[in-house]
Amino acid sequence: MPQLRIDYDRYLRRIPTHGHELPPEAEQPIRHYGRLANDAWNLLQYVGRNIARTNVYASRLDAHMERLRVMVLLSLAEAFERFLKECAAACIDQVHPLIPDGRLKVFRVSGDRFAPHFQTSTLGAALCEALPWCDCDEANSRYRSILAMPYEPGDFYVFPKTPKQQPAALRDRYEFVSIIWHLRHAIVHNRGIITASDAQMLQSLCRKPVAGPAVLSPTEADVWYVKLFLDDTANCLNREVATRLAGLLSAVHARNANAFDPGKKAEGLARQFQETVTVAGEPRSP
Amino acid sequence: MPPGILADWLEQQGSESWWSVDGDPTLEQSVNFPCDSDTLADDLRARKELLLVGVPEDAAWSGDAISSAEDLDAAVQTDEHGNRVLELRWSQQSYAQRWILCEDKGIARIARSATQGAEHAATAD
Repeated sequence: MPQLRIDYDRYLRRIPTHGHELPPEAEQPIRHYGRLANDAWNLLQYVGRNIARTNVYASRLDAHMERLRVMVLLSLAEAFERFLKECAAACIDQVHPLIPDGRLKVFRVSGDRFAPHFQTSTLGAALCEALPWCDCDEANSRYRSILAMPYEPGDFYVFPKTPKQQPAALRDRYEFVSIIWHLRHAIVHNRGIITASDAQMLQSLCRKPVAGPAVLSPTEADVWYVKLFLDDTANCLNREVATRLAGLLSAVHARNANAFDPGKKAEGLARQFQETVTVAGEPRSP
Repeated sequence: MPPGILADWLEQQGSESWWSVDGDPTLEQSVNFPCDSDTLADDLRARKELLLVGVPEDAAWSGDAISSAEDLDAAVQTDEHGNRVLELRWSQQSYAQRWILCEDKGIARIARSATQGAEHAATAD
């Protein structure tokens, strides 16, 4: 057999050109999250359903299904990280022209990461896309700053850590989200191997012994629990962010009634967040 | 058929049955799947667009249109795990855009066991 000669220069460089446009729901973060998370879950179900119709090598099937569950768990975490980004970008685009109080200083994005967004994206996308969001403290710090009342340090935490932090509806999720971020880390960087240091961190978060090094092997129920939790957290976070953003814009309008048309602003928020909101006394529904 | 008929059919299957939709962008954006019958039925009832149902060739049904939840039974297929499956599309969707509604007995079992576990834990506390 002749030696295989692949033109890598041609074939590898063209891979990034194989893509398609973002779906229309990408402009509405919670709808985009819903689609991405459901798609990930459906992959697992589709394979499970159809593999049952074939003659399979059982031992290999078990190993491949384990790997698929790990990949789907990762996809769910990625969908949630994407949601955090899109939601933050939407907030920035709503507030940045109206409140020049330095609230965006929390974003440290280098010029070469920022510049490519200049012609096609919004400021929010340019600031949020380039950064990772899979760290609860960093996400807290950024959202707190974006959604602070004018010239105040801010009190809105997407993942409150103490009973005093707002909003109350998002409390008691910090550790659960952190567990999912650590699992994501193990899958992305160590192919699902929970290293000794991962195990130490997870043990503290899970409050039970976690072995390491070990290969992560989630059950289907594990994957579903992750989806249930992230679905609920995304819906709750979307609602709380929309409400806080509407309150912030109302405060801006109270200081300067010529800043914007509150009816139009509420309409835009309701459409983008798919929530009923009230801006400066003007209620709107999606 | 109006989506309310599918909602009626789902409710007839019992609130402990769980379902997933695979392939429909509109439902997948607004409902977190898998979900129980009641959750999906509520969402379907809020929709106006008609649904078209794929009826298997060997189905024992020869009517022109689905007019009741009972008619839907003829269109149901069953997979190897005993899950009921319906092939559907909205009237504005092309044939290539058809999607499936699939029961998830595995998740129903996990949900039941998790609920019982929580009740057991609450009693133990």
